[in-house]
Amino acid sequence: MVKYAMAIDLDRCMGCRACMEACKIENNTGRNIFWMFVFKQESGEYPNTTTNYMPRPCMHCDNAPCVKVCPVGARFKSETGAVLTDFDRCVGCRYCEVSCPYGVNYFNWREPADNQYYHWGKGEAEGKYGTADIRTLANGSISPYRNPTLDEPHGAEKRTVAGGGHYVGVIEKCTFCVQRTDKGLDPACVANCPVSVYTFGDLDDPNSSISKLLASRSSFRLLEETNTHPRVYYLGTPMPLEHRKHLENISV
Amino acid sequence: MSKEELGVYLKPFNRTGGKFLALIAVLLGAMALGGYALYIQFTEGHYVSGMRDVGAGGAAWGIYIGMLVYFIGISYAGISVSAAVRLLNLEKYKPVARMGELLTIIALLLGSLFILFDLGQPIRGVINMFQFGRPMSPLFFTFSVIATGYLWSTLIFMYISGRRDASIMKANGLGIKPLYTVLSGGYVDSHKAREKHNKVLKALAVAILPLLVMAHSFLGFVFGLQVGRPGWYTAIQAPAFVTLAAASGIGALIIISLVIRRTYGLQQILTQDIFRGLGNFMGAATGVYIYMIISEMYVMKYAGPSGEVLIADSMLSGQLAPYFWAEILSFIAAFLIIFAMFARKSYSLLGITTSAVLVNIGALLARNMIIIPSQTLGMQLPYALGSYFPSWIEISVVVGLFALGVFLYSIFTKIFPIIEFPEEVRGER
Repeated sequence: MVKYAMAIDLDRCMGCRACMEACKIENNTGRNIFWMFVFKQESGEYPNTTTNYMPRPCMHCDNAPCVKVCPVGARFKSETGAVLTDFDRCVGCRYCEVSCPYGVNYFNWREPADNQYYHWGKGEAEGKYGTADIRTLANGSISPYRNPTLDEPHGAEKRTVAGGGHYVGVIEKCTFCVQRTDKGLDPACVANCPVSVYTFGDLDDPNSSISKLLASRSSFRLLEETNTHPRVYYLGTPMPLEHRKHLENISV
Repeated sequence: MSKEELGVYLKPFNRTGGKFLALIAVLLGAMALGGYALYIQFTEGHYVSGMRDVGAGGAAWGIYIGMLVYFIGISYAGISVSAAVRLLNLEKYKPVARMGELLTIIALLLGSLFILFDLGQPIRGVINMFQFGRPMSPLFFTFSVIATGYLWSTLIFMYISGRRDASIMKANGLGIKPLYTVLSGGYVDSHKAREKHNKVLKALAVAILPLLVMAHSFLGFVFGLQVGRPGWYTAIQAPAFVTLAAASGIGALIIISLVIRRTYGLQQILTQDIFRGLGNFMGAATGVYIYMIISEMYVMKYAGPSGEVLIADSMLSGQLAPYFWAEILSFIAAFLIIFAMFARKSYSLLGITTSAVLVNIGALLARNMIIIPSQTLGMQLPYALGSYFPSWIEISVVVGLFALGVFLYSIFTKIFPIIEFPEEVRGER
């Protein structure tokens, strides 16, 4: 059985955030929702400062706190090792969100269409930014920002797990791009990285590129002391946690 | 017992003045405000609340969860007092037993409504819990044991204990007859029936007692088991929840019974002796809780990992210090008032009331101070520090639900004897 894992080489990351952009386009996530997020921070004291970047997808833990606490089993561990959310079953209690030490869960605080960039749902975008033309290009058949294939059931479980922005009042997070890995493709962030920060593959196969990489280099995982057993491995220099300063905040 | 003496117990039925109607009008207004806020919340989504994602500088659980925990804590009073009366034969507390049971039911109802209004998909919340409920989740017990099991067992307990009073009311031709016919459930007052009645209540009290510890502990475990949240993850969480539930629950019962005593002029039945006992219990529980906060803070500040130290610093001397110290000082003041009265062996109702109000203010702050800082300040990856303050929608819903609770309580005192008739009262045929 395929068991996916991801390796992130921090020494290669240059903070371009192409992965965040690719994720948004692939998964139709709304504003203030970052399934993939790249921390940017400055550390050290002037003039000896460095800027560090650290991408943070969902860790897809083997002992995931969010799976343990979900009262209805909407959050589950799939056969491929990914931790997925059943959007048809989630009741919106946000227990997974508060249980996750990594903060990767995002709630649909409002109607996903209203939460899209340009407020598609409320029609505010009509006539602005040339969006009317986009609708014409799509023959008016679909919402211009939405990929309808994401509504189809995915994986061996056949549950609605792909993409974001399905309903108001449900949780969502990174899926390792289940709609792409089903077809044998790499997740969008991996495919779109210009400097090959990411290595993605089957950790159960000793000949896969990720298995060879992790065997040849020392790696670490985030917050290992919480006993979550993440499936995302980091290589290279860890982000310094002392004397640090954020370069920007996510505004709410 | 003569008719005049029975009349004392029926005082609440005699006086329905303009003040009562004015109160009801104010409560209905507050409930309408809450209803309007809920309407906005469920049409616009929870975006209108002050809650935001923990990864984006907010708290995903806000004042709704804080109030849920507070109200479920308050529900402690009913079963504990009833159990004391039925099991330990503390007949002294019998006059407040029904008030406590009603307080439990209303507090649990409000707590359940807070869960429901906190859910992003409340209808799914009810359906999926039956279809897919997972007992492995600590939150499952909040739905099953607390919101369902505890609530229904208290309702049954109250119904059974109320049968005798309903049949007495019916036999004396008082009040709404069809209602008492239903509520008396075939009970006819006689020596034999009364003996059986007391036996059944005793058995039920034994059966319901474990729920007292279970319900409040499960709620503590919802937080105490989360390794990802510094400040929540502590073994003292469940015992601390039970202790604060005892203090705030008995405190709320003191406030309610004093209001009823004053409004309906029941000084004869609700004697100072009762309040002395309740006050002592509340004071002792508050003292234990203060001790628990100190030991928890000491561990967090002295030995805690960086996340816990950050939260402890923020509470002791940082941004959250005003709330934290207001909470601690309320508890300490409440404890000292009770202790001073205990030491001087002279109790005043004013002192007991002040102390009960302070304990409840402290409990309200404490519940929110447990829940919110661990989310806004407790991220262990390099996220920016967050903040949370409830929006007017959340505050209106809280006010509306408070009003609903007071409304239900006031109406109940008008249709059913809020004080259980003593053994001497017989159903005359």
